Amino acid sequence: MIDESAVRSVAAVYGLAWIVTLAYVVILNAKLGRLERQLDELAGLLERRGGDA
Amino acid sequence: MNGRALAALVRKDILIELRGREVVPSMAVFVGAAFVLFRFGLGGANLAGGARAATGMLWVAIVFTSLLGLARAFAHERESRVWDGLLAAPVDRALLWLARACSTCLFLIAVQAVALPVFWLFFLQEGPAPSYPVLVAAVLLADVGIACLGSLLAGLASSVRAREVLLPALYLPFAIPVVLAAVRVTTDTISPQTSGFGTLERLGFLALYDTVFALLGWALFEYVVED
Amino acid sequence: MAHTAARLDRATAAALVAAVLMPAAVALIFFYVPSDADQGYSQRIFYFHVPIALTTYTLFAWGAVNAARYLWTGREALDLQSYVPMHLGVIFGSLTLITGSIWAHISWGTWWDWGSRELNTFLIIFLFYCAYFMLRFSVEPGERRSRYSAVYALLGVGLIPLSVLAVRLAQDALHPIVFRSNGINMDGSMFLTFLVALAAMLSLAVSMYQVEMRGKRIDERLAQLRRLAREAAA
Repeated sequence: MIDESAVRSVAAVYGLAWIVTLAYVVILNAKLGRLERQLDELAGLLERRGGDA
Repeated sequence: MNGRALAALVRKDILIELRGREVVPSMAVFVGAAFVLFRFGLGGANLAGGARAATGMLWVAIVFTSLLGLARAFAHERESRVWDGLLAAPVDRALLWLARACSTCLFLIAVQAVALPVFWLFFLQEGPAPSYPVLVAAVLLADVGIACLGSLLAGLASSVRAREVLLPALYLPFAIPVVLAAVRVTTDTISPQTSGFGTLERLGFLALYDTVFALLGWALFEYVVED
Repeated sequence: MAHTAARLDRATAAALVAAVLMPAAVALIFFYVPSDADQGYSQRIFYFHVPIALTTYTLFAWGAVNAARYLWTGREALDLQSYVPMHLGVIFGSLTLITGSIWAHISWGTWWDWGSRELNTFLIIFLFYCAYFMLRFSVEPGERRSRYSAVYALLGVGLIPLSVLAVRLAQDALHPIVFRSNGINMDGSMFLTFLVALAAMLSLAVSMYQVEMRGKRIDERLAQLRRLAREAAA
């Protein structure tokens, strides 16, 4: 039959894996946000430069 | 609905085919060769699976043969540069699709008029055979659906570089429901299985399929040729 | 460009919701819900399989709706908003097929059940969406690709009910229907677990959607920047 403690371990690892995965997503998102802000800055700089030229 | 324009367009397709003889003869040869292959593949002397396997093979052959015919749809117009002229004509764009669907359907019927007797000769002489009126009805209904949807997809694929590979890939998922219904409706006339669904329901499904894709083709074709 | 705010943006919020719901669902599925009377412990895969399948359908529906909106309005942004849900739908669809196959193996000993209505219908739809990607990769990016993708997506809307019908019509009534036993007669705890699992999968899909959209938008900004830089240098 099903070994209850084994199932607990599997479920715990599984839940942990999800938490880690989604933490990765959150961190990835933060980095993407920073990247977007930097791109906005660059775009602004280039547009101004293009306007002056 | 401009009936005269439609008739003119269909006439044009038929005349081009009659003069050039590109599509229909090739399709006929293809389907004949396919039948020979199937016959040998299923066991030359004794047909493995009997008439029921053969009916399945028939429908597979019909699907692939129609792909052949569709591959050339619109290719002619694009190659001889009349495409822009057709688009500039003061007719509803969907009429181009409808004309192509009509002529494709006619070509399919022409090929099947040859293919079905050959099929009978190769496969159905031994053992029980399906009901022929049902088979013909299923074939006709399937032709309409194949022609409607196929013409829309052919119009879409004709402007893409990899069109020979793309059209089959786009088309085949849509052929699955047709084959599912058509094979069941014809083999059930050989040995009916208790399933609560009769011949009429399955033929009705094919008619529904035709209606859905006729409507969708009519609605969506103008987005395909919007260049 | 309001989406670059330093506060909690949509993608992060969705990911946090998913981060709470997913482990909660796992806990419920493994520890809380009672075993099925007929199928035993292994029936619990149902709580993964069905929410994933429902999420797939939701994603495809969302993609089709945006495809129709794109054809109707011509707004370029809707093309990505249609494509990304389709893309995610294929991912979740693959997961549906895999979990369905595992479940079939558990219940019947075969890796695929050709008699199952749900699996066969799903297979047809899955093939259609693979063809959608073939189409997308065969056309150069631009207005034509967006239009063609939208048209094909809407053709899929016609295909789905027809596939359901066709598979139904092609079956023998005497074939036992595997997945029927977990229909609407679930008791309270089962229903709660199912709902939490469904919410978890949907929130996962939403967060994946937001992240992918963000990545694609960044791609577009980069392309725009390259163009600007070339012009400024010239």
